[in-house]
Amino acid sequence: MAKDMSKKKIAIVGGGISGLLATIKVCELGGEVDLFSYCPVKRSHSLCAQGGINACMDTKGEHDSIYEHFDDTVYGGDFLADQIAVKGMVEAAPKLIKMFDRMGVPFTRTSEGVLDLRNFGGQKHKRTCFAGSTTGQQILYALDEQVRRWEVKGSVHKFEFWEFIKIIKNREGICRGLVAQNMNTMEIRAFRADTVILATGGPGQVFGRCTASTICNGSAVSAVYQQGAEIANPEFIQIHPTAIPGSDKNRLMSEACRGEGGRVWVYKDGKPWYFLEEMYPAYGNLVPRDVASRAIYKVCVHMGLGINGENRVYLDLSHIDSGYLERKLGGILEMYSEFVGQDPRKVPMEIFPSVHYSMGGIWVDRVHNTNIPGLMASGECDYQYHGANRLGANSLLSAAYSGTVSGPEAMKWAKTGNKGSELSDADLEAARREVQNEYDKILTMNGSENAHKLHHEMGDLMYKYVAIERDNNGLDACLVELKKLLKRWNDIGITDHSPVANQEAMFVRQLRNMILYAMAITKGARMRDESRGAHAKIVLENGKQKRYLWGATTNAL
Amino acid sequence: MGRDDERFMKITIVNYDPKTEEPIVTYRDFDHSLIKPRARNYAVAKKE
Ligand SMILES: Cc1cc2nc3c(=O)[nH]c(=O)nc-3n(C[C@H](O)[C@H](O)[C@H](O)COP(=O)(O)OP(=O)(O)OC[C@H]3O[C@@H](n4cnc5c(N)ncnc54)[C@H](O)[C@@H]3O)c2cc1C
Repeated sequence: MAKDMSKKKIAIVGGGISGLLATIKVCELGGEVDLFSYCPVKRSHSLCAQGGINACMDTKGEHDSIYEHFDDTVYGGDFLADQIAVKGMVEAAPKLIKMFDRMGVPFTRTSEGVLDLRNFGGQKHKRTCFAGSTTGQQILYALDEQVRRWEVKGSVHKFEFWEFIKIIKNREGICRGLVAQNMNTMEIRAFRADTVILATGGPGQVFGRCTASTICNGSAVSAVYQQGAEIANPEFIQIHPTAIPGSDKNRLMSEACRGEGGRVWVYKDGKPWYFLEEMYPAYGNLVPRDVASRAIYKVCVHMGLGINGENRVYLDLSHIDSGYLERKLGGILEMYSEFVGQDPRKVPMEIFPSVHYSMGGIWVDRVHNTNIPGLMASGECDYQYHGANRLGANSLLSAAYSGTVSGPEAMKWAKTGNKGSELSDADLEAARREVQNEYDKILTMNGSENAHKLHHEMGDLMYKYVAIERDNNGLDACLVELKKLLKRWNDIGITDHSPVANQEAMFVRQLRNMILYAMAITKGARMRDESRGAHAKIVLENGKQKRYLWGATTNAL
Repeated sequence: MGRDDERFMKITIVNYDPKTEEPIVTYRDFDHSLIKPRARNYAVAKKE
């Protein structure tokens, strides 16, 4: 078949839910997609989403409404989300669920055969659609099948195990392509594109230990930030209240546990104290994540009431019928048993908050254009829908919705945008060469620092100063320390000089991007002199950490 | 500290300064015309 040269070429970086939906939309509109991902797209981090996806389906006769979803999202985000954008998302949500249903996503149903819904934090109505406790996986697999259809037709070219390095701009400053590197052969190649969409997910690795995968490193976002893209609201990092702390990573215990009736408690005066229920009688265990995490932090760190004096509290499902638990939460309970060696159907789980999600990200307008023409962003890597705090189960929604917006907009730009001059072969080679030189330089680094140790130190710094409670002295100190880390990066020594599959060299490059991202988060937090959603700023007395009671009281009540 | 709508009901915008490698923070307005901001308090049920 002769190749149709008039076809528009869209480069999409990221094969999670947002990237795959954007891909499908571009193909439906006759475009061609180059799809880049660290891993096979169906292993993208969206896979790990457990609890569910919000949409006003109102199958429980609770008189839920789209307006209620809208208001819960805006209120939950402490009034920092663009309301027109949120409104668009919640209005589209029921249609997206119906679309996923048609694609074959096995949403859990009631015995009558209607869509089942569960409770989630910050919402008084049952609004969360779910497929057992593997919702993200089921949606991602369904989308993967759809993308394969387009791949067979020749509309999608996958570049799996390729790392996006940077965008290429033409002389007018318009994004016309990108440079990527094959993670196995280490080949570096420049690609032309009419539009580039980043759908690269979250930056959890900036904090080291988090609930997200090692590929959620924010490196791509940092790369385009260094090329002139604006980052918005980076200081709003979601700390999830219920994770299993681990030395390698923290494993999430989904909010669905609380949604299905899980209770959070510690011993106080020898008796169980259900502190969320006492502090927040109206919402109880189903307060939003920022509120729950602050309360757990207060109980453990300020009151010293953690389990055995450690930073742990109980998350208890043991009072719930085990057949019911199996049906609703089977997958994650198995995970807990496996990692901890105890059965959550019989004994309370032990959990503590962990970095989980970023509300902030690349600035985009309502149709997901960044400030660089020709460059778009959607999914967790954009900043758009969650304001200062995201409600649980709203991010599979925003990832999906934003992909259905960015895809068609990318085609519109490709067809009618003012794209300026074409990239010549010499332009492409110059961009490739630049990345090649940087990479070759990394391979020759023979200093005394260890990249993984620097990463560890960065994570510790971020947890110490930019986590649940923040203060200006600490944030200033953190910025100074991060700048030192950036300097020490120059003195890294590489031990792996292999010409193939050199993960260490790639990690060194990512690490520099992560440090610069960490600085953006920290500076954003330093400048925002207020408490809003996930960003809680405390005032120190005499420059010392003031051990005072906080939680809801710091939050504009 | 409490919420400060007057000064901070704005989007944080961070730009990269290639010379110093440091972030530059500015603020940008956004649309909040549909639901009027109110105090956030999960101890009590929400009133729209
Ligand atoms: C443990 C866990 C459970 C969760 N559960 C829920 C839930 O129940 N409900 C909910 O709504 N949300 C949940 N979330 C959040 C939600 O899963 C994510 O926000 C969402 O899946 C993000 O989708 P995405 O498409 O933006 O990105 P991702 O699915 O993270 O995909 C990112 C893609 O970008 C690629 N990529 C990244 N950088 C590069 C690069 N430099 N070069 C090449 N490729 C790159 C990756 O390979 C991947 O394909 C959960 C998150 C975690 C951590």
